[in-house]
Amino acid sequence: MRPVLRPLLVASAVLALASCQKGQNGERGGEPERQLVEATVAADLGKVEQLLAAGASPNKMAPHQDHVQSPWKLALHQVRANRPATIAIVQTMLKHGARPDIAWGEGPSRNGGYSVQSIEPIQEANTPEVTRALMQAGLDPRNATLALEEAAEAGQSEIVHILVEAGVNVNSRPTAITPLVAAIERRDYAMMVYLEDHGAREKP
Amino acid sequence: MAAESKEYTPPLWLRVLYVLLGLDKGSVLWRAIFVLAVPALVVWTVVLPRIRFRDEEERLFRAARHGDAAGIERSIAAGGKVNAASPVDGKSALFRAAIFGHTAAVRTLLAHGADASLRAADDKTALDITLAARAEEKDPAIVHELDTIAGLLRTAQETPH
Repeated sequence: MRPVLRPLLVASAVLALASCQKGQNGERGGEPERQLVEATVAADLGKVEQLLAAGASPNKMAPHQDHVQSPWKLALHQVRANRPATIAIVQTMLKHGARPDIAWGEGPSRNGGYSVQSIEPIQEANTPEVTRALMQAGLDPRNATLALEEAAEAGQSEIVHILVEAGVNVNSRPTAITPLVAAIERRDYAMMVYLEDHGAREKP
Repeated sequence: MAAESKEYTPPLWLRVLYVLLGLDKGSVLWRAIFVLAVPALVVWTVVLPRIRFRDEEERLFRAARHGDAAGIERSIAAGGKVNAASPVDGKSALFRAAIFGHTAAVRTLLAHGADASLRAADDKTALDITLAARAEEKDPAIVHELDTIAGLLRTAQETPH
C-alpha cells in the first residue's frame, strides 16, 4: 500500500503547488499602483489617466484599507450608472491594458480571513457602458453567456442587445434556463422578439 | 453463491451487500443495473426530450408565443405535437400562449387537445402561470384576456378528454 501511495502524494502536492502558481495570480505592484488605487477610489478621472499614461498597471495589486486590491477591481466595484466618472475610469483602464476577463484583489475567504481572488468583470459591473467597453476590449463572447442570461432575466434590454451584437450565443444555457425562456418568464415581449430575431430557439 | 462455499463463506448480511453492490462473483445483473442507470437517466431526462422536440414543435411554440392561431393550426396539421414540452422548462405551447394573454391561441390549442392539467418542470400548470401573470398585469385589456384564459383553462381541467 505504502509504495503505491507515495507517488500519489507527490503528484497531489505538485498539483496543489501548480494550482497556486496558476497564471500571474494577483501580481503585486509598487508605488505607482498604490497611487492609482487612491485615485480610483477618489473617482479622480484626471489623475487616473495621468498615472496610467505614466505606466501604472491597473491589474497589479496595491494596499488599500488593510487589504491588497488591484485598481481594476476597485474600479469595477464602484461603477454606478449615475456616476459617469466611475464608468469613464473603467473605460480608460481597459484602453490601458486592464484585463477584460479577470480582476484581482482580496476578498473574504472561506476560513474567515482574506485571500486573493479573481472576479469576472462582466459579472461585477453591469451597466451598458461597461458591458460595451468590455466586449470592445476583447472579452471572449463564450465567457459572457451567463451575463446574457442574467441581463435577460433582469430585463436589461440594452445589455442584452450589446452582448448579442458582440456575438454571444443566444442559445447558450449557462443556468437551468435560456435567455429566451427568461424573457418569456418576464413576459417581456419586445426582448423575446429581439432574441427570436437573433436565432433564439426553444430547443437550445 | 452456494456453489463455492468450500473455503471461506462471508456472513449472510455481507453476501447480501455484495450482491446488491454487484461485487460478488458472477452477479453481472446487479452491476449492470447500477452501471446502466447513469446513461439511462441521461437518455431519459436529456436526450429524449431533445429528440422529441422537433422543428415542427419549434414553429408551434413560436406561433403560440405570438398568438398566431393560424400558425398553430398549420403546425399541428404538419405533425407538431400539441402537448410537446419545451426541453428547457418543460412547458407546453399552451403555457406560452397563456402567459402572454393570447386568448385565440389558447382556444385553438385546447380545441386540438392541449392538456390543461400538464405540469411543467417547476410543477406549475398553465392556469398557475396565467394567474401569476394576472396578478402583476396593469393593462386592463390584457387583464381581461388573462381572466378569459384562466376561465378556459379551469373548464378544460375539470372536463377530462
